[in-house]
Amino acid sequence: MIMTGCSLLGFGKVEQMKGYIRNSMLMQRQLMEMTRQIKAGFAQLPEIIEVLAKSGTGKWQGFYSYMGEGIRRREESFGSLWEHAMEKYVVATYIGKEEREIWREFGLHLGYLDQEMQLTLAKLCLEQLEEQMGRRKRQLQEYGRLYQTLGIASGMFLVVILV
Amino acid sequence: MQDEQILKLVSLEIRQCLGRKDVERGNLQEIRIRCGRPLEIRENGNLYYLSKEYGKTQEEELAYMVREEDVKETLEFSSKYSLYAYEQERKCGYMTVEGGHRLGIVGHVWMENGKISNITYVGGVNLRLAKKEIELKPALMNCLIKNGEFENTLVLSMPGAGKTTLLRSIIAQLSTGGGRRTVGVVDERSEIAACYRGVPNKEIGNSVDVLDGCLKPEGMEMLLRSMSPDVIAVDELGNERDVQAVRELVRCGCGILATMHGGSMEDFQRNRVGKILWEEGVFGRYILLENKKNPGRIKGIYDELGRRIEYENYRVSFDYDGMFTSGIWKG
Repeated sequence: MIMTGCSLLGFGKVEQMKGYIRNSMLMQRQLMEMTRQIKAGFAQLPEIIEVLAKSGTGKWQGFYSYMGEGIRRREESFGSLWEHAMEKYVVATYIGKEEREIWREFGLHLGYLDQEMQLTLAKLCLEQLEEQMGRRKRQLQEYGRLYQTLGIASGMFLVVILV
Repeated sequence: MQDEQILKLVSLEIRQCLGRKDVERGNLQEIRIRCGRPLEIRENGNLYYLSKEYGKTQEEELAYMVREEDVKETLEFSSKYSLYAYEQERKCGYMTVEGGHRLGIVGHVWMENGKISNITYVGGVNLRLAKKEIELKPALMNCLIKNGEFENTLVLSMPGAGKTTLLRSIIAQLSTGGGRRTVGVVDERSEIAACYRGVPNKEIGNSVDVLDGCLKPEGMEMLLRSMSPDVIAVDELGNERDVQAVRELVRCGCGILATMHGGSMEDFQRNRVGKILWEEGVFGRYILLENKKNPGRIKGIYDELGRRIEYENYRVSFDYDGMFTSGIWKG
């Protein structure tokens, strides 16, 4: 049991890193969709959010549905709505701390500027996410096997000591 | 429904002020929100300050002082969090928002090559609320039709007196029912039809084609060529280019229904553009509206020679909203 537990910790850490990368990719895809919609048809945020809520899955669907509901109510600023949605759905288990900060910053400025600035903002966010994803991939390559091995080794070590 | 819609356009604090019982939201004309200054409304033609505790007041000290956040929130809510989508309109100093209301914006204007490129640091907004539709009785329409033909008509009034509302109602009347005509509308400021994504939000009748956000001269020419309307309607004729386009329409036999600023027939005839139109006899009917204290009320209808049109033995009356509550126009 000790052996399995420790191994799972190592494998879990690797899975979490993979999850960060997967979600970062999803965020980039969402950004690209937003950019496309803003560029192509001057679409407004409620429509874009609705499209993303329909196409999203899991936590992301919840995030955009929550946003959509808040937009319909119009009772708080977009920035604060975004932050509340993040607190509720974009939790640390799924998204890395750095990515969350990038996403939060993006939401705070979304909607309020002109079209050019919206696109610049989305591009900047995309670049930051790409950079962060590159870092995560390198980390996974460098430390992935190490985490797994350490997990198994620490399990064995504990077993030896306890036995 | 309309009331709730208005509330959704302004900041949360201002919603509370507007939620006071003594505020007749149905009769509101304007909500003026200026940073650091008292919140002001225009209701039934009168200006009032607004307070959260006391409602309508003339006491400046009691009024709610507008915060920077109120302006920002109002911009966010009225643009549905999408200010960027109103970029072109903002350059003209206003945005037509949900429900056909118009949000005027003031702030720091950025110029680029002699043209306005943006307005930033918004210091104040004026939410001009779309007026209720005016139900036109046949009496008024009869004044505008002569021998079965629509007489080119110009609606004259001071700003805020209901020109556009009346224009919209005439369009609706002309383009609906048995003897309907096809009407082309050039809606330069999205005020007549309040189009959202090309589809009118306002009740403007069935046989109507709208060119939204298009300059008047270009729009009139485009409509004439592409849609062959019986009548073309435009709001606020203002310069020689507009006059040239109107001349072209008249030459082609297309009817014209337009509005212009002017407090009286004399004002109109003195105006640079008005003088040309008057001398050339472009319009066969002039509808003069009363001032903004009585929005939608008709002061008089005049023919091409400036004679007041009289219909003896008939009288028409209006309630506040400019509804024709009875019979036939007397004049």
